[in-house]
Amino acid sequence: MGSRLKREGGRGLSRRDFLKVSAAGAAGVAGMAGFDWQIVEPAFATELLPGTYDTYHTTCPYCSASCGQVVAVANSGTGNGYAAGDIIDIWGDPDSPINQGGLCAKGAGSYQLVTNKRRIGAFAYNPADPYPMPAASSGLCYDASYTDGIAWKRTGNGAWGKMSLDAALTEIAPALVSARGPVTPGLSGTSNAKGVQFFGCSHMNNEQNYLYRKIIANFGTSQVEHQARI
Amino acid sequence: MTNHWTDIDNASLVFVFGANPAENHPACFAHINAARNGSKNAKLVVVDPRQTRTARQCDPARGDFYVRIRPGTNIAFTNGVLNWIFNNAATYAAGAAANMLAWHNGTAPNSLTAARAFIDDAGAGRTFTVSELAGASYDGVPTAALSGGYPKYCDSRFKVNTAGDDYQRATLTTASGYAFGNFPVIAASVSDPDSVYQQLKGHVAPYGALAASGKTVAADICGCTDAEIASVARVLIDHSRFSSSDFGASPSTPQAAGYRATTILYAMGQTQSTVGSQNIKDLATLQTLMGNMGRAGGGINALRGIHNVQGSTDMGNLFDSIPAYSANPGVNEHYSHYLNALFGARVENSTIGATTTSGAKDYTVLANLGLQQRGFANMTQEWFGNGSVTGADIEKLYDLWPKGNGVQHIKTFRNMTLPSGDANLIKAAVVWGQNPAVTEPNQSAVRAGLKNLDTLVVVDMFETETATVDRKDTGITYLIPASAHTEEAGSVTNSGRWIQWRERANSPRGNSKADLELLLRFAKALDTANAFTHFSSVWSTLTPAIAGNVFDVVYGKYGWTPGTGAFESVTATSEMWPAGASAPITTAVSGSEVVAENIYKEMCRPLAVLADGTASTTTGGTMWIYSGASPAGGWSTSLTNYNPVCKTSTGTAVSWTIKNKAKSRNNTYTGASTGALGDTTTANANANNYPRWGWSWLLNRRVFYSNGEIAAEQTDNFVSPGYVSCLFTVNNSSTLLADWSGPLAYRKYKTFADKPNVTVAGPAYNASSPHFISAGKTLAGRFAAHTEPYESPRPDLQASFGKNTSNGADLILPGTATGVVADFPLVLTTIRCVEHFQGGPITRNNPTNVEAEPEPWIEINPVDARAAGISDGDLVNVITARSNSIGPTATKPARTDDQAGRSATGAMAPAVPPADPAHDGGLTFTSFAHGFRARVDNSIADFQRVAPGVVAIPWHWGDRGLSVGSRANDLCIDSYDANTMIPEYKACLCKIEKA
Repeated sequence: MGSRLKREGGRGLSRRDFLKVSAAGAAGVAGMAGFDWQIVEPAFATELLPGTYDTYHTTCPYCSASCGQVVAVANSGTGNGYAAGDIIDIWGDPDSPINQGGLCAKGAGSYQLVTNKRRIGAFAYNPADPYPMPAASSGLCYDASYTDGIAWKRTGNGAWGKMSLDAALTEIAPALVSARGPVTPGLSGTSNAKGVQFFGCSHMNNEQNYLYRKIIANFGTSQVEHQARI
Repeated sequence: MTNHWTDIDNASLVFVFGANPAENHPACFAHINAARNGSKNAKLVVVDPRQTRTARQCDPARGDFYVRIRPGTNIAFTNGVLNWIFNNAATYAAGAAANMLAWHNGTAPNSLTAARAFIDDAGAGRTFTVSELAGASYDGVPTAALSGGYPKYCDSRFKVNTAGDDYQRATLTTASGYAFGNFPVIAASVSDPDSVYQQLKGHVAPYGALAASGKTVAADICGCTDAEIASVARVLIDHSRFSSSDFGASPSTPQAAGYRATTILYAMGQTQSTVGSQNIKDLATLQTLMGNMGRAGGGINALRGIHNVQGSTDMGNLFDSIPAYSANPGVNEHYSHYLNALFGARVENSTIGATTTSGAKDYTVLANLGLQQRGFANMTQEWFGNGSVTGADIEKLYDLWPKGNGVQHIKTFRNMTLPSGDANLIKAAVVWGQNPAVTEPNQSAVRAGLKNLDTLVVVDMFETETATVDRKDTGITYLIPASAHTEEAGSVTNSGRWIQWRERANSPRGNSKADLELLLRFAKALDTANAFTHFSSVWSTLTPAIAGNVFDVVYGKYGWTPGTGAFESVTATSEMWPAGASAPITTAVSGSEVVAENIYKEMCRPLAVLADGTASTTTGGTMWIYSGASPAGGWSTSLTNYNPVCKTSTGTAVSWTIKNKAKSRNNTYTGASTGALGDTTTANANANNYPRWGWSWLLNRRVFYSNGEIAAEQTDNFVSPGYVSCLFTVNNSSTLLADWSGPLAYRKYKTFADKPNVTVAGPAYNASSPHFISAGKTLAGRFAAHTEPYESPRPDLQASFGKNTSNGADLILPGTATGVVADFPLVLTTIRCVEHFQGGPITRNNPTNVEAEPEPWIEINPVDARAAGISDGDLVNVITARSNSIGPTATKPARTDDQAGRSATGAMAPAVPPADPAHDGGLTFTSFAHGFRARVDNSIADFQRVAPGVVAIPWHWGDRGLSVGSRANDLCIDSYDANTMIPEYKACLCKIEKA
């Protein structure tokens, strides 16, 4: 139940207690080792990391503070159950003036976001995984036969069907061009088509946003909106 | 944010008004605590309808306090505070009040006055030295008002005209006889009854009049006490420039004992309103009036929502914008006319009959264009042609820009259900990383629109509510997996405008692909599908004509072409900055690390000639705000210093050491607090600016709006119209203040569309015409004026103060159901929590977030709970005019995960058992309007998070993910702000019943 104030007021299960319990429950779970829940001291996090790894800088994928994060990625020298390229942990960047090593409940959980088995097309289906995954019947898990990209398609409220990314784009592009209709360059409104709406997002980096906006302008429309509007 | 996150440490008062950083921006709260616990010993004051976790941090022993107001009454509160300051400051704090008048009556020093240039009637740029102004006249009548120089900071001395829609205007003639027609008339002091200062004082006076309740109008509207308004006003006086030990000094010295500055932090509590823009203008008015702008620890600071919402806004992914805050070119708008609306030079085009004005520039010469104009011209080259297109041919490429705006987001969904054949019918949508089936208001209209699309394409990390939305039988939906933030390189711009680099830590997982790869493959597929064939009619007219297919010309330069090998295998060398290192290294990088930097270079290349005066062959940056006035300002091989300067304690300029300044990780130079002198020559300067950590637009300036008050900034071409901040909003967009700064800067006024729908004229304030002041002018919209939400619990106030409109047009679309207080007696407001994020996909799929906050809840006051027979833990239905049919609990959306099969054996029990109506309010897949059902928080007996008459619900939930729950936006009204079209999520009417 959403007993927020109970926790906050010190009655019942405190958040800290919960985190201890959860961490204990997850201790045996592959991929969960080293996952700390609140402010992560870099030395502490490093101590928990097995094997050899490389670190990279990124910023947190949640709010607009852009807290610095350090991403530990297993390299080819590991012998600890991680494949090279697997993310071992993410912690707050102690060098960042913004967060000085700290992360909040969401930011600390971003390791779980990146390694989330519920991500579509990212992880092979595993019925023994401790968390619910996209069901095998949905086809939304990783499929090794689609190394060049995957997409799913449904008609009406039917089930998803798998296809290659190229096959999907080959269907999508003509459908969008058809919905758009003709575009005539010049100063009149016919340079701006009305039949297709684009929604962008604040989750992409600047370069991706720039490229997206460019494609939309090239496509011949200014019909784009995204989360900044809400 | 006019300032930035680490600058909050410099504040002596943190005024949080309409934000909840303790939950939504915890890193921000760390800086609030740094200000509270450090030498500033800062106070925390919170104004909010809900006693948030931020409000609960207020410590009365430290002088902190919390004020509760009714949702949607921010302007009444701010105006009440302004009125108290105007009337009581002199009594409360004589010294500060005297400083306030002195500052507003003050003039800029000659060094700055002399740098202020305006275009005269003969077309020549003239500077306003003190001697020129000392002998000035208005319409031939000598004036002494300008004898001391130009106004110091804002327009408080400008005179308002009789109609109340503009400044008074006259021809200003300076000592040398230079004439400036249509120039604002400036009074000798703010004591002049026509001055903006006195007009503002008159405008807010009615908020201090007594209402029938015996309280002032402001307190009556807000549901707070007069003492609370006075308390906020007093603390704002105590923590303004006028009470600071460095009053009169420049730049500000935040490390000085006795330094005072107020930072205002706001978020959706201000913006999500039909008067969102006016709410924020009122805060800007307050801060400008109190001298807190352009100052360390001051400013008005929007705590923006998503990590790159600043960047995505910078990139113009909005219906009325293109990158870098330029508007869409208008229908039938010629290139030169469009350029003249941008920040830069006055340009002309004789072919369309424009007056040939002396001093106007030939726009076909790129070097003639000012910053924003040059960025646009470069973008036109890079997007629709190539960098070799120059001269008049750029105007031909301009034909390829779509002319006119798209459709604002609320109307978008209505346009998806227009009759077949309607010219505005939207038949297909691409949803790249958003979840409108949760986040958009009045979901019955939203999901009806999505249902009717022929083609819907969703790109996301998870199977979202939008991907699984109810669709018509013939509708085709595609779902494409996106990568995570660690899997792709690029720059991100935070709320404080700091641009930081994300390194590519690993490859996109499994079948997912980097967004850059997906976008380039999407562009290539569009090219193959003849989406860009309209380019040829333009390209064939160029000299020389551009040959080749569109994709190769306009996208091939980014470093990867689909079909030429794997995206992730593209390699190059680049400078990277390893953890803990003091300088970058050059190393091999691959995939998005290569392509992202190529695009970054295109955005950030310098706009002008090189420092040695030679023309650069690499100029051509498209994002003027990301570039600089000098080559080193953007992407450049130059690593030397530029303005603002960063120096060591011994005066040595600090090199950037890395070309891609977003990657810069030098956190040594913070300002005087560490003994170094970062940015000593600017007000931005001083402590906590970290001028070598990342890059900050504009010009790496970390604090905005010093308005040239700081000597080092006077040469920067970023100034307000007439070099002053405007407390008053001119309602005449054709009135240009022809100010020219430096070589190529030109600014015109911003206008707002707000206009209360109450039009009763009256000679003086009274209960039936509160928007009118004694001079008989209606200044509502010109100054912020309270209007009621579209669904208001106070019909009496809605009758007298009205609702906001966009120049008379209602701010709600036809077809939206609305209710009245007789049927829906409570106010509904939406809230957020630290464990979940926005529309939910990236937290409601994480087991830890779901365990910490497994389901939505309802916050109500015990008074209302008792009246409805509701106890702790009960299920409650919340009902609005848009959700009057709580659906049966039997029908649920089919889940596509394997949760049911795991409930008995998983290491962690499923957070939400399927088909449990206690947890999801009985969602129905086929019924759009199904209301909101959740359990009442356990707080009823102990806490009063919300006032009687107010209901608060979180908006993060939907029917997909580990945790599912009722959608707040099934209930929310889709009335919207007059200028930004942001919906009024924070205030509508509802009723509750025990489920």
